[in-house]
Amino acid sequence: MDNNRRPLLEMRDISKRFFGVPVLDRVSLDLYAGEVLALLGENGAGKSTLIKILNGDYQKDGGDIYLDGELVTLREPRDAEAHGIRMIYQELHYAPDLSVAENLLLGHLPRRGPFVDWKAVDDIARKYLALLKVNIPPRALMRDLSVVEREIVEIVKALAIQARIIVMDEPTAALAPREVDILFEIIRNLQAQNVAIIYISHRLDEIPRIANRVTILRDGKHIATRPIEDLDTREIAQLMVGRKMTERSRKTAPAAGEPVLRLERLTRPGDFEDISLTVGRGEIVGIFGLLGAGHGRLTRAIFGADTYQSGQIFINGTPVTIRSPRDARRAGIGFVPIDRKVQGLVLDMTVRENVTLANWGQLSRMGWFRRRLERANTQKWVDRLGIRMAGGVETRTRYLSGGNQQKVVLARWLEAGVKVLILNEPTWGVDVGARADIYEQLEALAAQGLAILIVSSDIQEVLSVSHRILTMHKGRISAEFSRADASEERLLQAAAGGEA
Amino acid sequence: MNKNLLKPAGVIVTLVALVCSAFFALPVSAQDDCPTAKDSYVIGFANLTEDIAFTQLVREGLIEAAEAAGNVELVLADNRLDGATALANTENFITQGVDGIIHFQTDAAFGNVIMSRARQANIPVIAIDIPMPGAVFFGADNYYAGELAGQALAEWVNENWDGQVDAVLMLELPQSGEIPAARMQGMLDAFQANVANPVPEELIFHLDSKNTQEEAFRVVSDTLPSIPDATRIVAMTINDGTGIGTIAAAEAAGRGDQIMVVGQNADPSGQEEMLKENSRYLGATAYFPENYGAKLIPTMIDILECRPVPPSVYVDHVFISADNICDYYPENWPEHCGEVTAEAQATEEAGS
Amino acid sequence: MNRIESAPLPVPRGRQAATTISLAATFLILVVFFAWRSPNFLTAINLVNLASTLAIVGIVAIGETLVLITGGVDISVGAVAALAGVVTSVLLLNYGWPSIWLCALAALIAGTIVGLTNGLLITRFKINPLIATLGAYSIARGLAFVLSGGQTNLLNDPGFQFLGRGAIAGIPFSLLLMLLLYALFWVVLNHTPFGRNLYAIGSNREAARLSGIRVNRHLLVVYAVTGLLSALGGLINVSQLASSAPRSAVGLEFTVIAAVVLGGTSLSGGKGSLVGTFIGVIILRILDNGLTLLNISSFWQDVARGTVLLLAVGFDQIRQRWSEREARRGQ
Repeated sequence: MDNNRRPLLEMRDISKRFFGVPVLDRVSLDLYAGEVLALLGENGAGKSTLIKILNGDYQKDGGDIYLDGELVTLREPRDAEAHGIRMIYQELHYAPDLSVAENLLLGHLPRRGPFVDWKAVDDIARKYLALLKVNIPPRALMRDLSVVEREIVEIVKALAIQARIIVMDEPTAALAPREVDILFEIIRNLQAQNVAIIYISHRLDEIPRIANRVTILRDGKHIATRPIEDLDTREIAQLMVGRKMTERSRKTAPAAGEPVLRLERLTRPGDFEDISLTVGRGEIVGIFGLLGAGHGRLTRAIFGADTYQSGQIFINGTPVTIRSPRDARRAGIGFVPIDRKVQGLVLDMTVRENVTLANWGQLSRMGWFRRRLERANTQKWVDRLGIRMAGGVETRTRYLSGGNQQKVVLARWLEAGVKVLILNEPTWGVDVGARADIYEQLEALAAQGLAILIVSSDIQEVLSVSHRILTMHKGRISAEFSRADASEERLLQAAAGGEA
Repeated sequence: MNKNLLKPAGVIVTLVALVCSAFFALPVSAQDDCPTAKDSYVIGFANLTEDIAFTQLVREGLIEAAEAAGNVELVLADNRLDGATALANTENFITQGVDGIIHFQTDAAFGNVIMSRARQANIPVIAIDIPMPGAVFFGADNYYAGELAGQALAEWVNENWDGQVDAVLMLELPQSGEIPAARMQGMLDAFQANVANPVPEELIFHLDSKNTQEEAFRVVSDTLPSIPDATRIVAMTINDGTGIGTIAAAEAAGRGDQIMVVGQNADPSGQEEMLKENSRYLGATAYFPENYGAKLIPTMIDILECRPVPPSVYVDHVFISADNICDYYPENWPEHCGEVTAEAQATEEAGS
Repeated sequence: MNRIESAPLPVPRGRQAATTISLAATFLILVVFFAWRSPNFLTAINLVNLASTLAIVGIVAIGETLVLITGGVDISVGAVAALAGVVTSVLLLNYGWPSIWLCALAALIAGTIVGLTNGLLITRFKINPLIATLGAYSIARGLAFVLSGGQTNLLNDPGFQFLGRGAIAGIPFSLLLMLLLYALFWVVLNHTPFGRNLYAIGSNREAARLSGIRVNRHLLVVYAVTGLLSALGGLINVSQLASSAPRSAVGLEFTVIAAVVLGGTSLSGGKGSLVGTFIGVIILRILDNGLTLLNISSFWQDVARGTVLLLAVGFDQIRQRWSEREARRGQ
């Protein structure tokens, strides 16, 4: 970076309090045109508050924001947009039923007289798609695109509205490794257009690949801003957490107990075929596959959320028929879905209600809830799993961080007394600290005899937590590794079907 | 004392009192001294609905008649075309200690429940237009009212179309059961009996008017194309509104001069329709809802004072057409009838 | 180039077009069936009858389509139509306004005001559209009874009757008006930023808001337009019947929503077309007409109407799920 240049954006001494609690304490950030600044911190560090202030969603209590050296006021998202600041949220905001081109120009459709100028729509869309060397047909419907394509359209859209600063919140959370590569290429193309990028991610391993500098926040305070060359991921993590982190030791796997979950030739043509596996008592089995390998669909089928066509599921050696999540729950299977906000949690219910959701039968007497018992049980899990929230078990889960939401889903199944726990991408969008926490909890639960099946596209995750690892490729199991044998390279190769 | 214990005790006492009073009341009322007879009465009236002209007139007539009787206080309620509301109104009347109930309610299924509550409370009930078991029936003689219209229509056909008709449209209301069915049957029977050439069954179209103008308009619009060659069409309709819709459909299809319609009720809109120039609305049987009260109140007093009352009391029906409307509703149509004359007023009173 | 390899080249599958085709098929099946069963179905006299009785449902359905595209619903349309009719007749007859057209204008304004109120309740007070318009339904219907005193009023103005009964070159005026409105709103929906924004709002309200679309203002306009069109439908009704009654247009909302949904508009918003609605309106009308011509009892007509609605929408759902599964398999 050319440090003699004036920064494009300067946020100086930004402070913010919520209900008297300081969440940002004189935090400063600067950003130069054409650079990628990684904004890092654990959940609750103040990243999202800072970003929302930049976007005009929140009003700062103190500090100043300068753009091109000029003091600006950002009262609402519209102001931010007018200054060329653009957010790309983790949950993408697009209109699935409209075309790519329309989504690119949503709210700014070019007109000729009172009418939409469709030719211009097409031309402009093509122009911007070409600028970033993206090959997506502008007339395709958004809902027909893959996740990464939708994300790229969001990025192109930012460019199309002349954004100079783009903030990306966890852009790779839902992406497979190869798609991450594509996204990074797009980001580099953006840099070439002199756009400045604030990049938020919990995947520390990708930071050195894409960022020019990092700014680290912790507990609402600015901790450090350094060129990426000066830090390695371990140091970054230490700065974020504020304590020495030891890399998770790869202990030898404990011996697995008798099989609890056994699948025999489970098949749904086109999605997964011929899947046979066992998960023993106290065992953590990981399935690794690239996005679209069918492992996600497999878990949904085991839990009865989707159907399977042939094959058999056994629990403790007894065949069970699972046609609905209710059947699965009766059989003692718990499921933590990938998108907890959509599939796993009722966001507007309290933590207590969510924890006891699968277990109303036992916590009610003659149709009445035994509220005290419910609260006590919930509190037990809150303490054991370390669920952190302001306001106790009656807090609505909407206001919990991703990691804590995930723990609430975990708590629900533990409360329901399941024998098998299936997790689909368990730390999707969860920050580093909470991630380690969840892994530790899973280890502890396994040690108590729970059989755990983890399905993930995050290779680090599968490697660090599984006792035994299977890989899936095109709907079939392509290889099996013991913890000792597994390595990143071997897993990737098996998951890519040898093509990689 | 525990308050919770008092509540059921109170209920039991009330129930016992009610049962006892019923027990003693029955045999006593058969004797000469009449326990329900009083100097003045409170009578509950629950109207069918307050939304339509007909029932508004019934209510107004009742209020007038109650004032005329001098010793009657009316308690009003609205059944809102709903059985459950009618039951709730019954309960309210009982709580308010009325001496008799006049019920105008639509749901035959609730009739039993309402009557059993009234019997428990030993309160006599008069049912208007829709019978309830054990209640004195008061209302239209629907079959007869139908006959009057059917006969008038047949006479008009005999006179103007040489007794020849190409199609008959019956604008019915099947969802409401027997009463409208009796009206329709009365119209059709009298028409067939009096017309010179009775119409064969296949030329009679039974259509569901759903009791609205536009539905009548729709079914007639959709039926006319199936009788393209018919030039002499008669329609008999369940009420004035469906009659108006029927005529509108014929006019919209350019076949206004090929139809002649009779209806029921003769409410103000029906009267206006029959007074139009070249009207295709021959007339409608009047039910004189405004006169219901004048018969209802004395009947209720008769019941309360233990005088014999027939199980059914009927209102008077007259077929109203442009020819005789001034005899009955001169004040509605001063332009048509001229000044209201003393004779006309006398005739009106005689008619009611 | 950065073509993403995990997904195939997405080709717009034209779902809307496919829906329209399956609708057109339903339409054709009905026409063939009725033509076969009833000699009077395809006669000139019946076609004129069909053409002159489409407009009320057809025009109100335009507004409902807009509302459904934004992901809302308006169940006050029938009550607003009735209110418009009553306002016209009461102003003319009871208040002695000099011209029926002036009264009709007031009725259109009244309808627009009810619609605006709906829009305000939904956008400013965040009341669920079903509840807000349920309230408006009750209020408008109640006002219609209060203003008319429950009375049916005759309106014998021949000029005014032209609206519902007149014809230009043999084509019913109400049909011409309806076709004009369909053309107008088709252009609005497909070729103006306003119309496209409605799809965006229904498809993803948050995305629309974040794109700088003034969502509330759009919704306000949509509900106001629906109120206006409902009132217009009410006026045509009054003109056709030559009378107004507070009990008129009862259940119109269900017919209209049925027609719109039949036309492929999604109750969850974001999807829908006026072409579909147009065909939906015609299908329902033909069904009524044909069954009446066949002299089927009105109760069986209700059953038939419901069955056709469920079949048409059900088939469309199945077909869509198929094509989506195909799309998934391809990925």
